[in-house]
Amino acid sequence: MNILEVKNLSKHYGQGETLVKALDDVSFSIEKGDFVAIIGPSGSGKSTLMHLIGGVDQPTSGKVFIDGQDIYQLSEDNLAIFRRRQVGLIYQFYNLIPILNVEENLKLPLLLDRQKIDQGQFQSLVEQLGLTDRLNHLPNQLSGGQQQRVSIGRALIYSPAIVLADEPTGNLDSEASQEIIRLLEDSNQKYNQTIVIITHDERIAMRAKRVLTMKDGQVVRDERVRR
Amino acid sequence: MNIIRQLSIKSMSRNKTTTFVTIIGIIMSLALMTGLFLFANGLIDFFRQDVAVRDGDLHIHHQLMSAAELETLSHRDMLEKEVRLPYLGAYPNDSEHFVYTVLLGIQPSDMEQSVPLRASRGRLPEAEGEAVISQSVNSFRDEPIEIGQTITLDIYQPSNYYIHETDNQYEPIPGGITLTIVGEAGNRLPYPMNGPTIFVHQTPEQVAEGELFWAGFRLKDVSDASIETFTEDWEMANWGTTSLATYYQGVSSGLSFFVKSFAMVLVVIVAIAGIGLIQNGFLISLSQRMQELSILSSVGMTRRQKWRMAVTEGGLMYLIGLPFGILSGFLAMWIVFQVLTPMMQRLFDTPAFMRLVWDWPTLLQIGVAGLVTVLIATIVPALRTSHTTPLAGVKQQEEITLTPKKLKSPGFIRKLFGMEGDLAWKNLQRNKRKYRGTLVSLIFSLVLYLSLASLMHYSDIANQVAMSQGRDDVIVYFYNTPFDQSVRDKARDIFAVDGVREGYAINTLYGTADNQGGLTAKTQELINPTEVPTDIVTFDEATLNQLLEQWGMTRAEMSGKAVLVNHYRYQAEDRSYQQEKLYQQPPTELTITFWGQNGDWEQTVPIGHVVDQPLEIYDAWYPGASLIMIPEDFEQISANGPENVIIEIRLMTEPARHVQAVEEVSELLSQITFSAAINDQRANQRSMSDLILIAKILFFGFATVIALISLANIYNSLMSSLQFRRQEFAMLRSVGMEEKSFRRMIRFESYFYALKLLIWSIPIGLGTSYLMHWYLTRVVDMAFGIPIRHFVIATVIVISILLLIMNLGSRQARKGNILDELKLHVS
Repeated sequence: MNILEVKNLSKHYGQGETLVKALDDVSFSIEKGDFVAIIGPSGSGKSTLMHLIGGVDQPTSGKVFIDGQDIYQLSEDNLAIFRRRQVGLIYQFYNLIPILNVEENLKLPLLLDRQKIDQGQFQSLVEQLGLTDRLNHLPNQLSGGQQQRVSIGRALIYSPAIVLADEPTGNLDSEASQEIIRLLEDSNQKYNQTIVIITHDERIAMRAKRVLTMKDGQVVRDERVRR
Repeated sequence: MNIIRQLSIKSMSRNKTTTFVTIIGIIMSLALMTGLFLFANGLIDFFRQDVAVRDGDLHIHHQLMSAAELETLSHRDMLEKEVRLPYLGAYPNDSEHFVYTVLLGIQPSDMEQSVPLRASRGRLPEAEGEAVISQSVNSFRDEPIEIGQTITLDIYQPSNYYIHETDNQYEPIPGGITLTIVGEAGNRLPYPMNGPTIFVHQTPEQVAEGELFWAGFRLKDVSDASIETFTEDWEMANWGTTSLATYYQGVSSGLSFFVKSFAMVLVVIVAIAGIGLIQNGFLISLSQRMQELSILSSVGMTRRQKWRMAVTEGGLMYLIGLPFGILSGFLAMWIVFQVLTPMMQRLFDTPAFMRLVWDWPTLLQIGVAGLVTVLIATIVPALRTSHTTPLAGVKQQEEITLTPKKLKSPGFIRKLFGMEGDLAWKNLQRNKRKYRGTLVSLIFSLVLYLSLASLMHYSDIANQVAMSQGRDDVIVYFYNTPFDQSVRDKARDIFAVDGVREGYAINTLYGTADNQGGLTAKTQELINPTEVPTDIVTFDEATLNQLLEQWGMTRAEMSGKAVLVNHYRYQAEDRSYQQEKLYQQPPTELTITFWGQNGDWEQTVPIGHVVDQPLEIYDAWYPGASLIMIPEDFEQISANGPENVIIEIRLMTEPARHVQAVEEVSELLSQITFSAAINDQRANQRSMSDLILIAKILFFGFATVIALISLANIYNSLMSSLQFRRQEFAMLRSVGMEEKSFRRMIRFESYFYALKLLIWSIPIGLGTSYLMHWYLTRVVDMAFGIPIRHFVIATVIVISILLLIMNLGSRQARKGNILDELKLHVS
């Protein structure tokens, strides 16, 4: 069952001679529970694709279906709610809210939705993230790796249809990077969580089940990783 | 252009909004300073004009100078104008108080401006041989001069006009002088013309031929010091000259000093508000450029250079704001003066008007005050700029110092207001330090507004209370006359004047009584118990009958007896008004001592009835007894000393016909032979209301501009804070915060900020309000009441403005592309 379908997605900047095709008629789909890595050189359109899938940017043309929902047909507010519930976004620079402590940052999507929190599930996630003794800390009191773990936790807390990670290890040392990837793998394996990760690091890409290679705004290779 | 100036200009143009709002703040500060200086100058000028209209436009005069002395005057360069009134001669008076009546020549232009003559009867002289007399001329003559009469006077040339000795030598002037007296000058005249003087029409040529003069001078720049310099060589400077500058408030240096000092105090308040705004603007600009400044540090920019950069920015903004500020101040004051002039003219009964009076030193003062304000405002930002290290841009120092404790929000916040309220609360806590300056400046302007509102509120009440203490519109006083039939008839005539809707007469004879009863303890503290002020009072027939009905008495029962009003009011030591009972055990009779020109006399008055409440129409305003009697008894007692009787005719008029009624009453009074005075209470009330209105316009105008400066400050602070948080907002949106929630969060932040502001401002405002009430109750008795309307207005305005700014500032963050906003951080 496809959890994500991308159809003829394009994103262009400028006009005429200055026209830049950041994404050029890209189509692909991802099945539920898949772990996909998107790789490619700088400027190949990886991040643009990620942001369009995450609904934080508007395409020039094309469609994105998540769990059967054409996300660009949604109103601004409904898209926000959809993002809150169905998409987990992880950024290279963590993007945590500096005035909220770890616990509040983790629970943020649920709090915005005024949802009751299952404490058991929350505790298990916190343990998995290794943040049990950091719940009352503010982001500025955490290391980069810890901040990224909070960011992953926030993306997973709502058990979204898809988790999108944009170079989640780009700002971390190798030890912290390994830890982050292990967390993503765990959630994929334990909870059948669909994960799409953008990375420059081929070693990380090889830990995914499927690798999409992009170049000049197009998907030039789509292959399954054999272990 | 050097790199420092280039960097300053680039930074200003990049932070357009902050720069613009800061310049607007500088313009407002300068406009307000200009306005204050112009108002001070305009007010002094207004009173000077008033003095000039009433008493002439001369600053100094000399009562006796020869033509030769005038020609050789030192300091002629200080003169703007010189006026000469030649002595034509004098004649000896019939009365010995003033030896002579002096005849002075005067040309028509001087009658208008310099020695203004206002004809109270007849007209001013227009042709040769015509003259006016001063009011006192006839007082010194056995045979008065009539208006229109042509008289020939034997006049003399005295050896000295102003030595009041009867054996003064004088030479007769052959032929005397023949004059037609066309009028009487009724206005106040300068010394010695306030004595008996006849002003004779003369042409400029005739004046020029004079030998001895009354001479008057107007200086270009009048002050006590310049007057002293101008008159330093004068032999008679101690008594023979009069400087108006020391006599009349309008031109006195004391008043100028007071008005200018008051304006300076207000300028300092403006400067404080201005410093708050400008400093905040610079600090915002500095925070936004922290990274850039640290890069400049890392490539070798010295502290001095960074300091210069900050000061250059301040200087540039000041230079842009200066002309606009001064022009705005001029324009605003021109408008204010247009509004104020009619009110001031009515209040001071003068044709003088408020106008823009300025000179280069004034403009220089404004410029310097503005420059000092801007320089002080740049000191802190410039210091911070100069201390920026290369590391500062990399680390966000402020975020590093955040701790969970600092940001902890009370549990009820989330319960009541949800996640949005919690975020708003935490954000406010985070920006506590950043907002402190803005908060203080807002509290300052709000307290200023509330204090001025309270002052105006209590002034209004005080005016109403003062006026309602007498419900009467006009009071006519008759002095030194018995309350006989002729007076009663006159009172009846006055009551019958068209426009008088109600009236009553109160007649009082003042005396003292021994303490023949048990005075209350409080009364014994207040007065000497052996001399209790005791007045015999009676009313007109209608009023007396009403009172008799009230007391359940007949006129016959009252005959030969008095009703004791056992109640009085007094002003306590703290100046508040109190009420007190006079006698604990009222006496059955009182022996009163009256005094008069023919000696003291005593009268024992039996007391037939006692009332313990104040009469609606009459109450003693000092500790003492009032004995009400019927008119016949009053007349009998007062016959021994009518000079101690004061008769008050109190009138209530129809508002539409009040002026006409006062004129008619005045006309009736001009026909009587005894002393009388008229007090137009309604006109007094209107004058007071005008004065309060003028004060309201000025105070609220001032408070409004201060509030606008603070508003610019808060606009800068909130906008910059919202700009800083754009990335944070994008994060919230990326994790699914919809616009509705976003708006809620912004709204809560505005409410919390307003709450914080009001929590400080309202108690302080109430405190100042109470202080004003306490002070004013020393003068007028009134209850403490909060000017709720103004507090509500202030609250609503504060919340509305905060909501508006927050909504405006967050628009970009709400509507902008999430990705672009997130990239702000990355770039």
